[in-house]
Amino acid sequence: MLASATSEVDVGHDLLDGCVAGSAAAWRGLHQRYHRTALSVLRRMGVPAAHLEDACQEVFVDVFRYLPRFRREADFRTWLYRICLSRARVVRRRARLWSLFARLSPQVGPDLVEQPFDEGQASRQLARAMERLSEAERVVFVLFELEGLSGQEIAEVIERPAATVFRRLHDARKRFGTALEEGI
Amino acid sequence: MATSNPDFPPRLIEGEDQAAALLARALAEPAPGPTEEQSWRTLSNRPQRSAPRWALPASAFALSAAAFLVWFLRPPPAPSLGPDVWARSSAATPLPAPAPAVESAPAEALPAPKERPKSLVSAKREADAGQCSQLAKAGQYPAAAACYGNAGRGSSMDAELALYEKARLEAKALGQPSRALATLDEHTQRFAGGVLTTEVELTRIELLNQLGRRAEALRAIERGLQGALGRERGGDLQVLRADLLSASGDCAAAREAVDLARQVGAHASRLKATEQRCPAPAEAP
Repeated sequence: MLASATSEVDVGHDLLDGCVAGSAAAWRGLHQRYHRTALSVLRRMGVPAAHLEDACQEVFVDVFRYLPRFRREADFRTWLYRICLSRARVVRRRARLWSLFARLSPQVGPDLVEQPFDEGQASRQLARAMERLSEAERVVFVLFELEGLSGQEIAEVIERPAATVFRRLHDARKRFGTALEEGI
Repeated sequence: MATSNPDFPPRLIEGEDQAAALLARALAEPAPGPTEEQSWRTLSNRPQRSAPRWALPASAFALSAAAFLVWFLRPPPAPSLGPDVWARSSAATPLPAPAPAVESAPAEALPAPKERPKSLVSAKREADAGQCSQLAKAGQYPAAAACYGNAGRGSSMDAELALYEKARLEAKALGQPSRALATLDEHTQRFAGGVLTTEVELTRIELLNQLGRRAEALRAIERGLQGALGRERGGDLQVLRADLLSASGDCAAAREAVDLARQVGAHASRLKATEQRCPAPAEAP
């Protein structure tokens, strides 16, 4: 089953209004509803295990901070995906820097790099195969194949035409298939 | 949310091949990470940001002031483009003649490999960079280079670092600058835009200079000055450029490079060799 099916109803405006008005219950409701989605996207986008919880919290801090400015004509989930992807990029860059520092000076942050997820064999294999994809291909692959978004929804998230999404998906599948054939 | 676009292909998971099976298994596995409850608790206890509006500009100012102080009180600059290059520059000796076509032998000062390393035979494709580092520390340079070569076969950042280490070993420890240059070419090809791009470019310039390929070194410097390398190490590049130009007898361009190097803060001692080769013309009375 996909992590979040396309048929999922987007968050209601009442909930968003409650959040903007400062209702703790509304915030909790929003968090309950989207916590797994955020975690899933961050993880599939390659956020290291040691950074996952922090990254997820930073996503919700961003949501809390910028929700009053969120334009309601856009879809909340699209907006959330955009925040997750942006946060994943930042965290991965940070993790790469940590990794580099740890190499240059082994006593610096060794606990923050290269900790494997405590997850199943298939997820590990999937993560290894997805390492073959470029950043742009991986975004499309994760959103389409794992998160279950439609091509049009992905086009809205990445703010590119649907044709671009299609091309990236095609390239991503090709690389993914090659990685599997090579026994990754 | 929009429904599925009919022009898009069915999802992989709907198929019956290896990819579909893998995706189905991965999605069925329990996801790691904190539960919603734990995450909410931590989030609720997260300290609120209460810094006043002027805190950010004030911090930026304080940081700039500290950076200026550090720069102002810095010790005289040490050679930074590789000891071999700068040692020659500061001693005002001419740049080395072009290297012979055959690779030079390993430097005498370096201990020869004591025994045929076992790991050279058994190094796996996904060799651990830590093992390679141990081999290098033990003076087993050919084995270490082979080990880094194996570790550098993937497409991860580890592979990128390993391949760069291989080039460095070939250049510094094995005395094989041509081979190191070939390794750097491979690095550039495979890891364009990687984390070590500027280091690779800088090392390439050093090696071209070491091999006496001054024209190529100058071209690489010009290229470097246009990009991130120029922004990060503009002073170093201008000093080296001045040195190369003066060594090739182009004093007008060398003096121009000296001026540019001064403008970006290069220390006078590093420009001495160039200025001795190309003194400023005496002013007309």
